[in-house]
Amino acid sequence: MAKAREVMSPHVISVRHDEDIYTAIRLMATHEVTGLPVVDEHERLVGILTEKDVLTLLYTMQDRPGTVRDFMTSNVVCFDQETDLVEIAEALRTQSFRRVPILDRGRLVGIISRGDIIRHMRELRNEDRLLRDSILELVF
Amino acid sequence: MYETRTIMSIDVVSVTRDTPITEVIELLVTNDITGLPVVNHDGTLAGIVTEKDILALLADVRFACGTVEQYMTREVVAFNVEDDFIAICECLMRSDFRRVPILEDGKLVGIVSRRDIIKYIASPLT
Repeated sequence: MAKAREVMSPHVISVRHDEDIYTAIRLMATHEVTGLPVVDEHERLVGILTEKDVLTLLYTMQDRPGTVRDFMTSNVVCFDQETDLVEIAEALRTQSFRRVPILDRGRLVGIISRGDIIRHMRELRNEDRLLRDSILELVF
Repeated sequence: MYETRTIMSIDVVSVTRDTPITEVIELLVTNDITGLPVVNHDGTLAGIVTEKDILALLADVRFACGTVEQYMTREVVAFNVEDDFIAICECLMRSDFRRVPILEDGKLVGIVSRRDIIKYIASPLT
């Protein structure tokens, strides 16, 4: 079974904890992501900012309601890049969060969302179909 | 100010109870969405099938069979198109799910996701 590093998106869009909250929201909207890992000045993971965390801003009329730190979720479940994908899928299936940051010796190197695993499942099926087709070609 | 009808997505991809679950995987990936409303043949809502519902298939996805009926969530929170948009936002803020089907005369006409609201919040800024 695959390891986290084989399935994760390595191009993670992360945000600094002291960034303006609207800059973070713009990042979310333009990159169409549902959550941003939050890092400190040493690139260490300190939290995650999700769509859910920022929905309250719909009511805010202030120009500068705060920084990422004021809205982010601090206790983040994350996994090492060598973790078995099944273990990660189980966490994403049974918990309410839909993505987990992936670390290499504590440093943020990727992210795995439920969608990444679904895409991986589709690839497995397609590979299988190709294999079956080529076997059929050999036989007939 | 906030009208559900103008903010909801109306191009909703939906499935029926007898859609093969493998087709759901295909639809989620190709449409880049996280869940699909399940409708009855008369257009009324039967449930919803999400990424979360099918993650359990990972271990034996090569042999996956069955239909939406076996995997879908039946208890779905849905709103009417005339409902107050703020009530929908509050529901999405409180709950774990990230989208709600929108109905008119009992039939599915749209969906409001957290993504729709984020885009709405970000829109005057971009």
